[in-house]
Amino acid sequence: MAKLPKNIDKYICSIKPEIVMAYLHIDEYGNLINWGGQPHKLGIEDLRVGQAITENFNFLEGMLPVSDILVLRFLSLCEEHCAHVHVIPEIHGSYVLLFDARSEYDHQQQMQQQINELKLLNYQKNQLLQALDNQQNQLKQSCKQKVGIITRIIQYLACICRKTFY
Amino acid sequence: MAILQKKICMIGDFSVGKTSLVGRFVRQTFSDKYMTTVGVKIDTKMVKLPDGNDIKLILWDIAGNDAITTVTASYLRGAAGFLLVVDGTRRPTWDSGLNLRDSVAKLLGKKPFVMLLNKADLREQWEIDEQMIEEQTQQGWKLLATSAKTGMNVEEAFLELSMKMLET
Repeated sequence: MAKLPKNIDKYICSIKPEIVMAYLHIDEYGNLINWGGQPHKLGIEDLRVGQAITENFNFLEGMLPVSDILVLRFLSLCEEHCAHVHVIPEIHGSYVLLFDARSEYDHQQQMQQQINELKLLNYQKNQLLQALDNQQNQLKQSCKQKVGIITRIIQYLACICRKTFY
Repeated sequence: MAILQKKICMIGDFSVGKTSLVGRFVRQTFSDKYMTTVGVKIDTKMVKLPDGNDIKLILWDIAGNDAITTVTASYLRGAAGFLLVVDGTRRPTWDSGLNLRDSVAKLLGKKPFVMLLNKADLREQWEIDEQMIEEQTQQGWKLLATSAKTGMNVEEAFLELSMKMLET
C-alpha cells in the first residue's frame, strides 16, 4: 500500500478494528490520483490513474465532492463482499476508504432477518385476530337477531294459546 | 461519448419487495424466500429509452425502513430519482411510504419518483383500495401496480422513472 497522508492514516487508526480493503485518492474533478489495497476483492479490476472514478466505482455517482466526512455503512457491491465506505474531504479532492464489513454484515443480517420475520408474523397474527373479532361480532349480531325472532314467535304462540284455551 | 449515468434509490418499508424488483429488473430472477437487506446493495443496468438513447442506471437498493434515519440519508445523496415501493397486502407500508416520500422530499428537494404497489400477483389480498390510489393520482403522482414475481410492470417502472429523470 502506498504511503498515506498523516491525517488519513490517523483517521484509519481511529477506527482500528476495521480492516482497510482499499483506498482511493480522487482529485477535485472526480479523477483517480492514486489507489491502494485490494479493490479486486470488491470485483473492481483495471483501475487506472487519471480515469473518472465513477467508471469503476458506480456508487460514487453524484456523491463527490463532499464537504464533510461521509460514511456509507454496509455497502454491498457484489455478493461476496460488503464494505463500510468513508469519504473524507481533502483540499484538492477526497479520499475514499473501504473497510471490510463482511463478518459484521453476516451477523447484522441474521439479526435483522429474525426481527423482520417476527414483525411479519406479528402483523399476520394481528390481522387474523382482527378477522376473528369481526366474525365474532357478526355472529353475536346474528344471534341477537335470531333470539329476537324466536321471542316474537313464542309471544305469538302464547297469544294463540291464550285465545284458544280461555 | 460518455454514457449518461443516473443514481436511483429504492425506498420503502421492509419486505415490500425492493430487492426482488431489482433482481427481476437486472437479472430476470425471483425467489419467494425473504432475505432482509442490510445497508445498501448496488446494481447497475443499461436501459434503452424509447428515443433510442442509452442510460446507465445505478440502483441503490436501500434496507427497508419506515422512516429516514441518518444512515439512510447518507445513501440518498446524489440520487436523481427514486422508486417508492409499497406492499399492496400490508396497509401500514402504504402509510410509511407516504411518510418516506415526504422525508425524502425534505432531504433531496423535488426529485422524480414513481410509487410502486408491489405484489400485484396477490391482488385478492390487497389492503389498498382504489380510492387511496385515486387520491394520490389526483395529486399528480405516478402509481404502478407491479409484481416482481411475475415481472408485471417492472421494466415499465424503471423506464418511466428514467424518462421522468431526463425531463427534469
